[in-house]
Amino acid sequence: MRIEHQACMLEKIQELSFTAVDLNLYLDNNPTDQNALGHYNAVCHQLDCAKKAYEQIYGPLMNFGESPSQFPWRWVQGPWPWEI
Amino acid sequence: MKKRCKDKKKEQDFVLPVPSVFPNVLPAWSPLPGLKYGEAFVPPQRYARTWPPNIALAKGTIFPELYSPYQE
Repeated sequence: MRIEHQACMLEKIQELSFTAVDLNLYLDNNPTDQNALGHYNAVCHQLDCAKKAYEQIYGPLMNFGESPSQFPWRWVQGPWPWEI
Repeated sequence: MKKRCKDKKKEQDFVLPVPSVFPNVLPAWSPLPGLKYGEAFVPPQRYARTWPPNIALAKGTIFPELYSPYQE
């Protein structure tokens, strides 16, 4: 159940990341498109929230520089992404 | 394949442009002298409807108008 929930949260992060990068590519070619930029900023915010919510429960998504760690050092605890 | 052969036949009937008028055509020594090199045209994309993130990830694009999967 826990792993299922973790996988679900990771999937949400992957989905939002993909939407962000596709909007990123569109904006590279259309830097003055305000609607697309608004969409991009909204997705970035959702992605940030989804990452923070995930990290609160399951620990850091990146090994350094992205989020502080609880005690004890969490990076080496829990399953690796390919184990989920 | 059939269609390709048909196109080839058409190519032979085609009157080649004169190189002096169109300097950017293939030279006489090339296999197809007088024809132009390929040119790519990409019409500008318009931001309109987008798919929600879960569908977009599955389809490989957020833009429905760019979705063109390979036919099986």
